[in-house]
Amino acid sequence: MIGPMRALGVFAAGILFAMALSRTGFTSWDEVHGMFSFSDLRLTLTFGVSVTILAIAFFIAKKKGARLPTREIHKGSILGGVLFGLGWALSGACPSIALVQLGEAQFGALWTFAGIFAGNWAYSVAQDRWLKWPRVSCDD
Amino acid sequence: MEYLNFVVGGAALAAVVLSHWFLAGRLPAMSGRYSTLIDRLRGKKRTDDDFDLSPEELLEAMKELTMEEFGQDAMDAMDAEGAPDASSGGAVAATATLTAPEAPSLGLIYMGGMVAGGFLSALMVGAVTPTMTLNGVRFHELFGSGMTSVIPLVVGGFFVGIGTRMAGGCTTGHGLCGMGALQLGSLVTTMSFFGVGIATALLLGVVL
Amino acid sequence: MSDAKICPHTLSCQMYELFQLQGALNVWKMNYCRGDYGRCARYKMSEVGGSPPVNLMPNGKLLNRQGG
Repeated sequence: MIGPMRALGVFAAGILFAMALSRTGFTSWDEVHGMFSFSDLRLTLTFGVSVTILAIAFFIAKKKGARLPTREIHKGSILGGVLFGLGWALSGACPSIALVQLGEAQFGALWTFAGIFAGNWAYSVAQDRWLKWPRVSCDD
Repeated sequence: MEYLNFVVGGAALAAVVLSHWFLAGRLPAMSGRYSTLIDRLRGKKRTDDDFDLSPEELLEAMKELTMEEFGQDAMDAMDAEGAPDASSGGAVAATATLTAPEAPSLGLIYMGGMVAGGFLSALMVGAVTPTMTLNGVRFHELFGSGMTSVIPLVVGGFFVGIGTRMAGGCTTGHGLCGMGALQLGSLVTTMSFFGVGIATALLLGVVL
Repeated sequence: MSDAKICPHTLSCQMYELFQLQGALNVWKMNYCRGDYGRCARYKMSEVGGSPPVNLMPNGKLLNRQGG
């Protein structure tokens, strides 16, 4: 059973994450487009800085015995990335961003959300019926 | 609209990822949560849904199964030998458990937090500008201001849904966490989506 | 032993990590992970696109409070 403290912690984590995405501009279609079309390097640099800081933090954590997620290359790595990139450039959103946009009252995100839902569902069915590709997930 | 500069913004994102690790006990990731929910809706149950053994119970259970499979003699022999990877045993032993996949309800709670956070952020800058599509000058320049602008959202969303599930992660999972942990799979996926994202954006500018 | 093929999932397998808990548990590693890993129930499931339950042992049995 999920304890109230854990639920609160998870909810708070969601709020913080959303605020960071929102204040950095990842929830703005224009800003994301600017990143992908090189007309504005701010988001790219933001991304770069955060990855660098995380790499350092993870390195230290690993030294202290923490277990980090592993992501080996697998059959879906490239094609999945390709489709995701196409979708992101069109919709301006990834699964996290669509939710934050909703909170910001950008209700077009409901459409994006519907699309993501349908796409994920379609792949789930396809995976069961045809593709016997490895089932990977973000959860570690 | 003033956004955070890249240094502060980058630090904020990193801080948030790390705080998630602390508050939720794992690194943030979104597409996996969608997948869990959808599999639930499709009626697929996992056998390990309620798996919840303490480290002591776990060790006991493992020893029993080991005994069943290999017998006491084999176990004693291994113990005496001090097996190959015994050196890292110490750090692992104290905290080892098997973490079952996250319960779908937690995923929903997290999603709720994300929506709430979006609202709070808009309130914070005093710019709550509701729109039935998206806020963005360039967005509307390219896709129009009416229902036509919904098309890239649904179509794009569809590809995002397939792609993130196929790749096993999204911007956060692969881009931030995977790259931060220097994982090859994440590097490949991130380069793929970035490359195609760039190509698509440039193409949009040309075609529309 | 040193040139035996090793299962490609050892880095991400939770079960593999658990085998460090006690010397005696390495008997699993010797017989599966660092040996004939093709027999491992977890490996077999992953290879056909399945996601092994967290408590699935290489021999196909499931860990739980009563042992298996």
